[in-house]
Amino acid sequence: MSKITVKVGVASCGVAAGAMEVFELLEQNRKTGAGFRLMRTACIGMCFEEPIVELSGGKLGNISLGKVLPEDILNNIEEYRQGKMPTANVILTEKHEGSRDSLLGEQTRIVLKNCGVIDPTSIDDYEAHGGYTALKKVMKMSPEKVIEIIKDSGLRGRGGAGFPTGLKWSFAAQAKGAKKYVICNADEGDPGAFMDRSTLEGDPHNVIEGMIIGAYAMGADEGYVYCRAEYPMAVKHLKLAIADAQRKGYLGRSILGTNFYFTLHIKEGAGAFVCGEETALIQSIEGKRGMPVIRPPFPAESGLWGCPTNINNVETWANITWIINHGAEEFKKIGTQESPGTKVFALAGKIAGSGLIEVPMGISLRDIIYKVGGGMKSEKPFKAVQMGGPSGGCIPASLLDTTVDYDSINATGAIMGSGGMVVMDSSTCMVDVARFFLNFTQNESCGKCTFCRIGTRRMLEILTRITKGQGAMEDIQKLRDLAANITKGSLCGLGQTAPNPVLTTLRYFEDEYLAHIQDKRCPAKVCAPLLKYEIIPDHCIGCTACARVCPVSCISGKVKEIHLINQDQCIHCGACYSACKFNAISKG
Amino acid sequence: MQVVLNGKTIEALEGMTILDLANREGIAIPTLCHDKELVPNGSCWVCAVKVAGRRGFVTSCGTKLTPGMKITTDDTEIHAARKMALELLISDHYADCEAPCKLACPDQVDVQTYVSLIANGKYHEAVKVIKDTLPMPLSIGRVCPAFCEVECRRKIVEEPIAIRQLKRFAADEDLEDFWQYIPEIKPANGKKIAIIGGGPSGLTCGYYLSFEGFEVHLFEAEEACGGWLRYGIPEYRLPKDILDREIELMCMGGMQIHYGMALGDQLALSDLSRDYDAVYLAVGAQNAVPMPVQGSDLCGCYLGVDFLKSHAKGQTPDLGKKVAVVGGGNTAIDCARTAIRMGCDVSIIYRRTKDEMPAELFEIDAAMQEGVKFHFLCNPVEYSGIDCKLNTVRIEKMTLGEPDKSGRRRPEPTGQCFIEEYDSIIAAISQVPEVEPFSRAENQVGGEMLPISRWQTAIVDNATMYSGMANIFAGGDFQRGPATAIEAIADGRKAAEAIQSYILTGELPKAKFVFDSKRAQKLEDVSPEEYEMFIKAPRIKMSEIPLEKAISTFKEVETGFSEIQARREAARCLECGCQVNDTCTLRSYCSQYEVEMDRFMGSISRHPIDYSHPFIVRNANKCINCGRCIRTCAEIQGANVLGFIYRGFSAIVAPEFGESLTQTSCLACGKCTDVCPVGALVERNLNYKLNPRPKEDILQNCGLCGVGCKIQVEMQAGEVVRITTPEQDPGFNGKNLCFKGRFGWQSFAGKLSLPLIKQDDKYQAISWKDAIQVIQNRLELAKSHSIEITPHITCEEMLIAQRIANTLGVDLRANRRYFAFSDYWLDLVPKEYAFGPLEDHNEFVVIGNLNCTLRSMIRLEQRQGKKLTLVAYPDEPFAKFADLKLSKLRDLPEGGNKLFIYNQNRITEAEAGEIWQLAGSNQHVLVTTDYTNHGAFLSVGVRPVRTRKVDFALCFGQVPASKADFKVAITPYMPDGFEADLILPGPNYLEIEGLAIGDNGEISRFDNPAKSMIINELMRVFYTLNWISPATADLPHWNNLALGLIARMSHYVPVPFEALPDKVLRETVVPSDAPIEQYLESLYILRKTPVQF
Repeated sequence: MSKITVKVGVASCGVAAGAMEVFELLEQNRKTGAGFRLMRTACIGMCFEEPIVELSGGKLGNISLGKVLPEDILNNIEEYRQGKMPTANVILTEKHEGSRDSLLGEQTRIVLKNCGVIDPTSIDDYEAHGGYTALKKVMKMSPEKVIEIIKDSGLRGRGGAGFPTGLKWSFAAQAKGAKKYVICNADEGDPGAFMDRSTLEGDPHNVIEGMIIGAYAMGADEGYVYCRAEYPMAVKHLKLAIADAQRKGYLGRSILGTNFYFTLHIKEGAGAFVCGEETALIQSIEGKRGMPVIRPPFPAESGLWGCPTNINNVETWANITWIINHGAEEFKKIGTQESPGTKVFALAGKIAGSGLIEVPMGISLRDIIYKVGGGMKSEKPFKAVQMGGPSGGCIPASLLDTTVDYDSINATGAIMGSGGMVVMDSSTCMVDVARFFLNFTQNESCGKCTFCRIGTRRMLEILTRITKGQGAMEDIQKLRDLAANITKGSLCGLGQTAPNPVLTTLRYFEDEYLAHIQDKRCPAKVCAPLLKYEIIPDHCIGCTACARVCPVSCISGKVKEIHLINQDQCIHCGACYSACKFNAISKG
Repeated sequence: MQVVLNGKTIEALEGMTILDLANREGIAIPTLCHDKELVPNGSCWVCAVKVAGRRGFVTSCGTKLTPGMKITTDDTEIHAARKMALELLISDHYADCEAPCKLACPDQVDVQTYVSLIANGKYHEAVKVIKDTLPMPLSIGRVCPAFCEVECRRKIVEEPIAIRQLKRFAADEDLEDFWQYIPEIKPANGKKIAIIGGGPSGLTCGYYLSFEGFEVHLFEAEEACGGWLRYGIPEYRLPKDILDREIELMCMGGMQIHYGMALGDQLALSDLSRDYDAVYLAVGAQNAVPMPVQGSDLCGCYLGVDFLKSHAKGQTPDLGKKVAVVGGGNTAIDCARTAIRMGCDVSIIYRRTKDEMPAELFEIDAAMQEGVKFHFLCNPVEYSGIDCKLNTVRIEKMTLGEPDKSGRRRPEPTGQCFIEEYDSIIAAISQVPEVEPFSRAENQVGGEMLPISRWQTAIVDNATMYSGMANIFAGGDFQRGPATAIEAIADGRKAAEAIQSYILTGELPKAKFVFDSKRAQKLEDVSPEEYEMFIKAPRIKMSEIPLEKAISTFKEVETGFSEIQARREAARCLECGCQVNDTCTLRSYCSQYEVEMDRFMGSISRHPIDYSHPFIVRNANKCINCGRCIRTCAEIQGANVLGFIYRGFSAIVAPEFGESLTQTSCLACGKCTDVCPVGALVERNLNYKLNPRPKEDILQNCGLCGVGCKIQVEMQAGEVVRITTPEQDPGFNGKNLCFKGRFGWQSFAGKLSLPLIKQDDKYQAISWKDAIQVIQNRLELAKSHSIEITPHITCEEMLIAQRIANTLGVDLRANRRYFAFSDYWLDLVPKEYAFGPLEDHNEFVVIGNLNCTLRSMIRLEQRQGKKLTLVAYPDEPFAKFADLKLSKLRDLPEGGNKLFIYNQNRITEAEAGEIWQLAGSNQHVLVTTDYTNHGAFLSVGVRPVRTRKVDFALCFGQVPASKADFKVAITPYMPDGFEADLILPGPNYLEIEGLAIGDNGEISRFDNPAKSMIINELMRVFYTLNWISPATADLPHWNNLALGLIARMSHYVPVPFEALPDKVLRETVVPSDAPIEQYLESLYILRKTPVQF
């Protein structure tokens, strides 16, 4: 019988859930001769099931265990070795197509093909899974041919705006300049988004190989991966991968024995959201404060240190090897005509299966949420999904059948964005959501453009007033006026899109705004200053629990008597509501 | 290339931005962040325009034209967006355009400016500022309740500035001055104005109109003018001789006063309206409101106004011993204090308490001190008398109820009464205007009656005082009811403006929207933390005559400030109003776009004002994040001491690490203050309290090095107060000046003003006359002389020196240090722009340190794509701009169109020799110096001093280099180590109208903005000594000769450079020895020394 292989997912999500304890335990046992091969891998996307351990090499084929506990894992391995289905939380079996494992079943993996499969710290493992074959193939082509393939594939930039990648490459290729740069934008900053991090942690070579191909096609000899410093594992894996690629001759002088020369650096960003904007990113690499500059000239013409520069994000680069390996035609078979290929999304919020997914373009939002994502986390109904992070917008339930492609999503007022998807149910206040995202963008504004710096702040203040019940009807028009000028009068995408959450919620949920302003009521019961807590006399047994937790002592009543909340003193903290075991307090 | 601008197809040039094109076409597009020296930033967005096919707006400063581009520069949407951008900027602009004291004044007197002028000792100028809006400072400085002081921010630190007293001080000073301030009288325009009433309002209206050229006839019913100031305010507050002198001054514009002429008696309004071009009614509110009390017809019952008036006229009634005054206003206090001075026992009866009294607190306190008793919460209800003569008053006790409309608690009767004995009672409750005459037919115009309110006051438009009837205007108490003199004056001034416009243009003036940013609406809304940095300095109290004297006479109680007191008190002013409120770009756009300050009210970023730098005040509260200072400092000056810190709404410009500018590598070039479109960065002056008032500008050249930058010298009250780059017409140096050019003149405080003689190794000041005597005595003994010059002086001084040398029969000499091996080859042909070679070359090689502004000019050229190589350049901000840095000239790559640039005073001759050898021609070498007048020095015919000792030596600009028994130095300064037997003060470049020829023939013109007499004194010395003829002791003579020198030099042909001389070149650096250098040095060090405010 062949040796059993045990793979532990030790990406950031796994580590956070305790995967290192499992890994270290197995490591010790393996050393004492437990008789299995131990491998580390990264995230497969089912973050909600971490720590995940995959077992293979046994009769049952590949199976994955979720929410693994250190105390059980050795038993589970033993059961597996004996051909028995482990008495554990089995989340995937080998035949995951069409089985209960719909989470993976509905997915098409191009970008994430190796994530959670290979050991990201091993170039050999990457090569064993077909790594660097695309590069070898490319080196036999002319640069023009490579650009043509990318153009033919119809690949659009996955950073959010969806600009055709092949076209962008051709601009940089045609630009005059002895020195050119390619940059990988790994400054993932949207709240709730972690696609790029997972990709870099799980399959760094795929991105590097894509960049080398791009550099070859555009005639660049130097590249940067601009990665945020808060992603230590991604940086670590990248550094290792660059060193290994250099050692193997994929990077550096005379790559694969040709005259082609390319070096790659990592620039760790300090975590400013705006540095994800390409001109600000370039400023940041140059050592300046990350602030966007006027375009044109576009980076393709004059970018890093004034040289022609191409910037793509992690996911875009990660598509390249697949396209080269399989050809443009195969790529176009996936997705829609205008938006071919797949898109990686980070599912978060009130969804059962939060984690990373990769789906073909053209899938409906409904399918993503209910099939891939496993539906809502609780029984509360779906209300909206925020797409595109703080620059995006909220798509309401009535538009659930919208298909996921650049143009359909834009039509809703949201944007595809880099792939953040926050699912909300009826317990979410849409004014509060808009306020949350606007708070993020206004804090992250670089402070350059007047409208963005002060305008977003004023919008936030208006929203805050509304959530406190101090809004006035003219505030809605003020929000719209501000939003219009901020959108039109900002140099970069941050400002141009910052009002989107407000505009989409105003578009689909204006009634909620009106309820806050006119009725001084929060329909989702979220905005604390608008909430009223009252004792329901029929339910109250006079246990005093509420009175004891009230921080301002505004609940009166003797033991076994019905209590009363003094509304003038109540600070709407909700402590009594949580403390009451008899549902005797109403919130509204 | 063709583009479509606002629907019109026009030709444009490649590389132009939309803003460039609009400027060329005369289309105004506002911009705050753009600076044509800098790369467009596109941050303020007030320059937003639309381009067909582009999403949203684009910035016109940063968008280059492309063929066929369709541009719309203005429409309602663009206008609204620009307005919103301004409103957003203003919503976080925590600043006051105007000082709160000025805004609090009903007459908008520019308090901050005149207070600063007083602090600077410029009293005459202060009065001029006051009289711009307030022509009666002598009186108002004594009687004003000082609305300004209520809003004075100094109150937050400890106490408000004593503004009223300062005004009085300045006015008193001016009154005693031989050159009293009297405005210029405009030529008569033939228009006639009638003014009824000679109170403050009528006098003010007449004052302004008469100086504007109107024929003003003022009709006064009494036998003297002043109105309430004369008949209401007692002598001890406003001496009537002071009032007389003030009115006399007011009549200097030709206003004619006709006494004993009253409306309704001698005058009819219908006649006046017909015979005059306009009529201003300022008849006041003179009728006292009687006390509705039973028995008020008894003898001994008086009304306040009547009592004061008869007292003023010397017809004081006999009050008896015990006097009651009813009321709580200033009139009641005036009656009481007058009665006290008549020896009476005085009580004030007031319905409410002291807190509710409308009289000024200091007046109440003064009355209490003088012995006036107060019956608060009391009200007389019945007067009883014996033989029709007042004997007792029944007084009811009151209590305070709910606040009424005025916010004061309403007194309510309690029913409890008591009886007091009084000999007389004065009721000073209120006054109303006399309106009865206006109902008479002869006082109606065109059958119309003057509109009168139910309070018996005239109804007028508050901005213009126009009554709406024919050509009749009305103001002062007549339209307000009893109010203050300053309000009456404000009405009079407004009426004068309106009447002028009404008569000359046929229209009333239209209100112009002027934007005013305010930190707070009221003093209470200002956060006190911002004022914690100020050191407490208590208000100086004006001294008063002793109490016993005060209550026994009618002498003025306040005796005035001494000069020291006044200047110290004025120095306490916190300068709340913006220094640049007149030139602020943001404010002018906000006015233009009629911005609402509170449309986007919300949180405001507050920052402590940074007063730590001695030359630059940094107020981040006013900053609009345009980043011009950051960019100019980093990209042009290279110092890079400013940057943005924080993100989002909190993002703000600050020095590196958020420290004080003094802790950075700031060069104190002051360029940031020049480019700041608001008042976030402003210059300060070590010796002068600056103010926002526009200054008198004089354009001339700087004389502190050979570059000779164009400067704008700003004057106030005959004194230089600021130097900056010319605003309208910047010279070749653009917006660039170095520390020396911009702030160096502040070291002139150390200037010599009298001759100094050395006695027993010490210098002693002597008179010019004695100095002449000393020289004369010396000259009698002297057989050999040496007359020397330096390159630090003007052409005129050189020519005078030459004449003296001629007279004495010697050659003109100079220290050997001023001569260099390269002198023959330099191009000294005088020209207006000497830096043409910068344009003709595309590679610059700079060797050694260089003049600061020249560096900026090179940097600007380099930004056009030229190459800069620095050789042996010090480790200094400019060094970072080098495309190539070398330590040795011999490492310089060959070829290229190179221009070699060096400063003769900063590298050795040996190094310079290497440069010449490499350059091979004077076409490719640009030599600069630290001398004022190097060009003329080399052309005037001067020879090195001899080694032989002489008996007498005189040198212009330094100590004579000759060995001499007696050395005379002519110099503006005396730095350490200066060794001469006699020193005569000399002029510097701001003290003589003269010429200089700087490096490469640059012509510099100097003015004498502060009208120094030093050169005249010197010439007097020279002709007394018979060195020059009396006929030539006149500067214009030498100016002409200087022009002749320049004309001669224009034919000069430099000797072409062929080979280095066959001599050893000096291995040491010869720095400039101008006496000012040491002073500049010690001033420059201050930029690193934080100051306390």
